[in-house]
Amino acid sequence: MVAAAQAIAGGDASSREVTQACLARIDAMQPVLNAFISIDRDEALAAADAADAALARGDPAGPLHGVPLAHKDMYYRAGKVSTCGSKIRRDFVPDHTATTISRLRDAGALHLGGLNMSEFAVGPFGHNDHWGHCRNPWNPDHVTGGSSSGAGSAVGGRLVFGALGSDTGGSVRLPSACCGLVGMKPTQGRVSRYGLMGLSFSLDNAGPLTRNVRDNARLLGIVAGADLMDLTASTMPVDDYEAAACAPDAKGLRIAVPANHYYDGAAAEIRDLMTASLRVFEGLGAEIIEVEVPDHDRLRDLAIAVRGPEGAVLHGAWLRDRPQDYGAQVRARLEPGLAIAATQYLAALQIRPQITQRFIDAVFAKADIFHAPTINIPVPTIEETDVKDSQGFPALIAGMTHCTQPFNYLGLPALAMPAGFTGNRLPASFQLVGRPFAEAALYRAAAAYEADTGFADKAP
Amino acid sequence: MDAPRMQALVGDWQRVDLEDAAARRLTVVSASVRAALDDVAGQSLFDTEPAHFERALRAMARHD
Repeated sequence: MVAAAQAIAGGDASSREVTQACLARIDAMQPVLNAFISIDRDEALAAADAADAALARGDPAGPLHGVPLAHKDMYYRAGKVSTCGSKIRRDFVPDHTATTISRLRDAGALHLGGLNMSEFAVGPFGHNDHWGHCRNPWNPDHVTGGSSSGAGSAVGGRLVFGALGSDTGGSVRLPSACCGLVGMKPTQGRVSRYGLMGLSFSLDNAGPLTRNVRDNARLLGIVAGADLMDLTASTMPVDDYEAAACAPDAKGLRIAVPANHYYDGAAAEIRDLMTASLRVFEGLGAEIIEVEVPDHDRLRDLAIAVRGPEGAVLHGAWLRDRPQDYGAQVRARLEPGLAIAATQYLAALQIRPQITQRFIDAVFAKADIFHAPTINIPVPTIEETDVKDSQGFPALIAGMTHCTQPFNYLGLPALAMPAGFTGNRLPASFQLVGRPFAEAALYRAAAAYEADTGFADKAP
Repeated sequence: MDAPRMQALVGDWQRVDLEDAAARRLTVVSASVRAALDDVAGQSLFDTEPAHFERALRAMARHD
């Protein structure tokens, strides 16, 4: 993404050439990957021509001038359909534009279309009963991960240079992990949620999926920060993430690894890949420290106590009036919120600062960064995970989100990074987690790993 | 809480008709959530509100 921006700004390529190349790739791969719900071809080319004309006039170029991106089809643009991956909203036209989209537009980025996603952002595998399942660019028989499935597929498949997804329980990190990408779930409140379809206001995060660390840092740096349209967006100053990504350093870093929870049920080859990634960090001068993580036996239920009612209140009327218009599994996952009392919901929110403080005390008193698998199983196939609302689906989902979900409740930043390949030749991934608002530190460490391993050069 | 009671509760409170399998699932989820909250009951501070979380995150950030 950064390289494309530099090429356009430097006159080595026009925005039209770059956009046409993306559209050609989309035309070739969309029938295989089903990464897009809608493609805005004419709009993108017109915007590309405008970007080229602006450069020719000598207008200043923003950090993403003329670069084509696409986003999960739940980032609202005024006057444009945003399906939210659903049947219910297949013709929904919002009257406002997401702050994140406005900021990207102001940075010069183009918009190629709406990316496929799990229906209403509910689903860690990327299945969609209405728009068709999204497919993994490394092997189309395998899941992309969800719910930002199209973002994972499109960026991983080199259809677009970067994408925004959303993460409520892992939905940026899981497709990043499955598709060999860098994916950031920022600190809770780091990025405005204005104009972003909601699933759980207390746990939702907007986050970027990209091919490399610097791209991710640039994208986050553009969209992060306070927003008068979303007063839950933090006013904490935004660090220079791209500068951090361009100053790779892991020397002297203390990296905590979990003694419990994250490797429960982990496949042996995942353990081996995680160990290998830690050896890379040690070779870069880091120290590895094992820590016991507190409260993890109850984090899933605390997250459900928060996410359940928040999702149920958004979907309550539709669950009453048109339940048949949901995919079976999506409906089954929204229903639990109907059975959680308001006092239980508020109790789960009220205890949240203390639970997070206990994690901080256990981990970051001894270490700078926490390292764990993003998914502790190899990327599964579409067939073995497409179980609808059959009896086994809760366990399947719990397994897939076992390592990602804790950090949504804890509100901490988590960066998913490629970590080699499993025996089925699909990507593996670890996540680096930091204190609140420590995204820059994560980028710095990740960039050191990336420079040493060269993973960003690998493509399907 | 058993499944029929869950169906009645959700039907009465939320006016949503739960299928039998969904009601059985919700009894399991409800019990698990209740157990988790029982574990931490009494640990939260009296003067804490959900809106304080961002302030708490700021305090937990590294301040070099």
